[in-house]
Amino acid sequence: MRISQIELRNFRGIKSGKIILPKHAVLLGANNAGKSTIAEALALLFSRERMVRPVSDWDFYGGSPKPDSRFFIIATITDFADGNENDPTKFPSWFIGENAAHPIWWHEENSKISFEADPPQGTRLAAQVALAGRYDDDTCEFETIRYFYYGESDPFADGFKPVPTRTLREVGVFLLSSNREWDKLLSFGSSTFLKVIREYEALPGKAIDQLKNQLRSDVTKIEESAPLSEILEAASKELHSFLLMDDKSKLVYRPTSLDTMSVLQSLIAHVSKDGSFLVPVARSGAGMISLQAFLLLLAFAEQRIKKGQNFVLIAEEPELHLHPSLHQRLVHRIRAKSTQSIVTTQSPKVAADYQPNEVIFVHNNNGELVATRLRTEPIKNITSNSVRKLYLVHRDALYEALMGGVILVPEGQSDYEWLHLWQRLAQSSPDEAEKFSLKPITVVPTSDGAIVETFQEIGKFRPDAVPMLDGDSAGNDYLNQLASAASLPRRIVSLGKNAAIECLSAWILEPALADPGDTLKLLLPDPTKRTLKNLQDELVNSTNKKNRELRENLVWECVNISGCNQRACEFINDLTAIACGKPQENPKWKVETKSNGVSIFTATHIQRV
Amino acid sequence: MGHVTLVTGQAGTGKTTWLLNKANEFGPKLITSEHQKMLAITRMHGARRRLELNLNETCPNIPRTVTTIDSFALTVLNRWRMTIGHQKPLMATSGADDFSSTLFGVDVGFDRVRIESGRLLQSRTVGSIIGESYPLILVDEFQDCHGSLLEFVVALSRCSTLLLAADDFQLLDSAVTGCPAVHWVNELQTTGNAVIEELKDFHRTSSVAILEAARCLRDNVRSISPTIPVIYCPSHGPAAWKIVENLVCCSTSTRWTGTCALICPSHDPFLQKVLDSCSQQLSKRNFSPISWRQESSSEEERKTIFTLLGLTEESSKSDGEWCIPIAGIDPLAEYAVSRAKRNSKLRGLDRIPQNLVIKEIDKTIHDRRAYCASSPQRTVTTVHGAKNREFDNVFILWPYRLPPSAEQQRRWLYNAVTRSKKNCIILVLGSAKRINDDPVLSLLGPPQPAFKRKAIAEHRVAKKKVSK
Repeated sequence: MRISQIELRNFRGIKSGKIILPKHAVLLGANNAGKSTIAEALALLFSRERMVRPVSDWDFYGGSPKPDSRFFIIATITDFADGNENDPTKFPSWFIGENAAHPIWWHEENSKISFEADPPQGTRLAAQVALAGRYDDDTCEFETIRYFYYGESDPFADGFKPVPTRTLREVGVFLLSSNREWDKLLSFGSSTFLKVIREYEALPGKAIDQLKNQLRSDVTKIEESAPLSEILEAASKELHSFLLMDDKSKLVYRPTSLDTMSVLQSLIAHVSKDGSFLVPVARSGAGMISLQAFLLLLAFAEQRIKKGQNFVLIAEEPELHLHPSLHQRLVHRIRAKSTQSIVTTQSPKVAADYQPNEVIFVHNNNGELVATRLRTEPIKNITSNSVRKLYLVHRDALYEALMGGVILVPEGQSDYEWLHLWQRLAQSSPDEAEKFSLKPITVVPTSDGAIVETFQEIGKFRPDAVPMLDGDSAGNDYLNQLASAASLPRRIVSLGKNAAIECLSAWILEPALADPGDTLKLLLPDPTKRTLKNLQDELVNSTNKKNRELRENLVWECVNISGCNQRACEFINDLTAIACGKPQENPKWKVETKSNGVSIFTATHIQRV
Repeated sequence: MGHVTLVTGQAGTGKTTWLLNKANEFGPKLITSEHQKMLAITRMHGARRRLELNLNETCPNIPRTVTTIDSFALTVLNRWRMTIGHQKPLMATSGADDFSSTLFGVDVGFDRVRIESGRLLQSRTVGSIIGESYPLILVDEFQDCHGSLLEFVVALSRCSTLLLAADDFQLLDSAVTGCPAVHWVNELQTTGNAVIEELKDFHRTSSVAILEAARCLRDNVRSISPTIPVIYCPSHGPAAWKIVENLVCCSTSTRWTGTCALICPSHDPFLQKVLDSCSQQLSKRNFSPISWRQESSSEEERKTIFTLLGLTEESSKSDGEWCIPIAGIDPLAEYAVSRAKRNSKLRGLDRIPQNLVIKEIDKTIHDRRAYCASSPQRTVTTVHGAKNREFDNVFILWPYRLPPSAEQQRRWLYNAVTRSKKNCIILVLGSAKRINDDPVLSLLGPPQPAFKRKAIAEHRVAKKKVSK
């Protein structure tokens, strides 16, 4: 069984949204994009509420639910018997009986659903279950119901029968939340842990009984040690006189209430080193605990799969507390040990271990959840070599860029590298940084001047990406192509007349010409020739263009030159402001808005002299 | 293709019992897994209620769903409503022809529900799911199924094994000729897909008079041996006297005991006059009045509640605000009101619209009639209300307003007469001539006066003495 699609309505930060899920998926997105919301929505629908926080006001979009507000989580389940069986009568717990699912048909190729009575060619049997929540403002209580979904309706108004929990458990959803309360996870109070133990039939019943007896009678009786015993004796006497209790009853102390549940919950996990040295799990290093609990869950998964049962693992940020070299192994263990897995992550490296058609980019557009698979066709279908390189060679840089706040698509490799360096400078200069509010810019590793194709690809997920062009004729060409393409960028940044990226660098380095560092001196040995023009010429020079060491050194030498810092910050800040759509205050930029809405910002202060 | 078994027989031959015993035989063989159930369906709620009670007694171990055919068709349709292109829930109403959206969902006519649902059952997937969920289907009072309802049961027969009970003569619908339901099974029998069992022994009554009357009415022949008394009453007074005489005034040895029903065609003013006269005559003789349980039609109940709550028929079209009246209202109306309040709450409305209240009233009345059984000692009802029930004693009132054709009158009277176990009397409004001329009544023997000759003669003599 596999959850192929999930639809959310009015749930938390999402007014509406639909996500198609492949067998193994990684959800990539900025903070507050909705990754956790999706993960917790699934856990809420398929497992006990204890795995997730209890329902509250914030689970409704807008946060202040009215009596007729409802949130819905609708999941489509397919691949019954791995997609080999289309006869609903073979799955009686789902389709047979008075209260059962509506059989629908899932098209794997285009991820669509057919509602016909009989299965169309090439489809798989599927069913839909939903969770609805409402708020009763009279009693201030929240009510939820899990039901078979037959269409839009209000399950609270007309007596709906809930789906039996047994049926939902067949899907076997387990959530590893990013709230790693590890000591709780490994304790008997944790529902996950108890579930694991019960599945193994490993509940140590006899041992618990023995423990109870020991706690009842074998333990050191605190109440008998003086001077506590005298105080207790006196208190007991008073109690008797007031409550008319039996004289024989007295107060005794034990480590826990002596019922099974309390005994179980009082057990706290410790890590034993060399058998004698016990450290409570809560105090161990986070990494070790993370791993242990995680591997416990995977062992449980293995057991379920051996028994032919389903196991869907939803792991939030599995890379937490773990060394980067372990991330890849982790991802592969997850894939190997579960029927379906959904991983949310902030790490481009973790995402890079998945195929592009398994990476789902999640973006929250004012309540509209947009979840796009990075690719639905194989990479070899991409015509542009540069775009293919993006996926094959620069995958993590690409993913990192997609998650960023502001995205810049430059013309090529050297633009990419220069911009990184200047950003680093801007961000590490303390004073200047305070005068401007700087959002980090992520730059896409475009190659070979394929800016148009690269923008088309990026624009699919981040239409707010900003292409940055040189002021030369090639740049103008690109400008025209971009400004009339099918998917238009909202804003385009262009350097001034005939300027290349090196001219930008020259402009930033200009204040250093008066008092050059060693590298600059080497570059322009003759003090009389230290002009902006010559600097530009040198930088554009073919040998120097490719010299990375030269670049780094030049930039690092500017660290203490406030003029350079100031210019770097100013430029970066201007770029950020443009990309965010804020009004451009710096008069050095010329703004032109075309009839199709595209705004072109030209940096007139950066020109080839 | 499932198998069909039909049990037929006249009223009182024990069809329902036979049906349930057969269910006990088939049930364990067909219903094997925990998700499967037996489906027991009827056309009307009254029959459904009685079937449920009987099932509880006779088949306690078979897991089942007992509902009306329309209700089941609607459930199936709602489950597959996305297949027929509807998102919102469907509700069946009389009057709506096609699918029409309302505030609460989508209204569909009963006919349409049956047709669409039947069509769904023809698909392989839906048919196999329903067949697997309900491998055994029981239909009581099958003769009541015709038109789209019959088509739906036919569609079900292709999915599961069917057990049916019917008596074609008990089909009271004036618009239908013959009995299409039994006709269909007869056709199936010729192709070997159905088995028909006919029951001949009468179980309900051993009274020869009643049996003879039933036979004559059914076969449309005159009686040769005495049947039940057919009394002509010039007015309501004598009719009331006959009732009073048999229930109260005669000696204890001849008095009628047990349950008693007064059956009359609906809404005839004759009924009320008779009942009033009964009370009068009893109080004149210093007897305590007989309390009759009048089973009113849903129309009347509806009107009563409407007046209580200050609504009219027009209100069902308006969504203007409705205010709760201050004066106390009866429990049923109160229940409808609380439901209306809850539903407006759930929909987030500040004020309660009138059409919502009307909807809740209708639902409350329907639910109560459908699900509250009642078996009082003395009932006043119509033949429809008395269907499939039995009473020890039956009074049949025969006024002037009757079903149009003689055929229907015969069926009507047959159904009324066969309700009785011990005693039955027909009280005809009119003269002896009316009875002699009537094609139906004349089958049952000579008309009898309300008062015996001896008593009349004595009365005349006494009058003469006084005037002398």
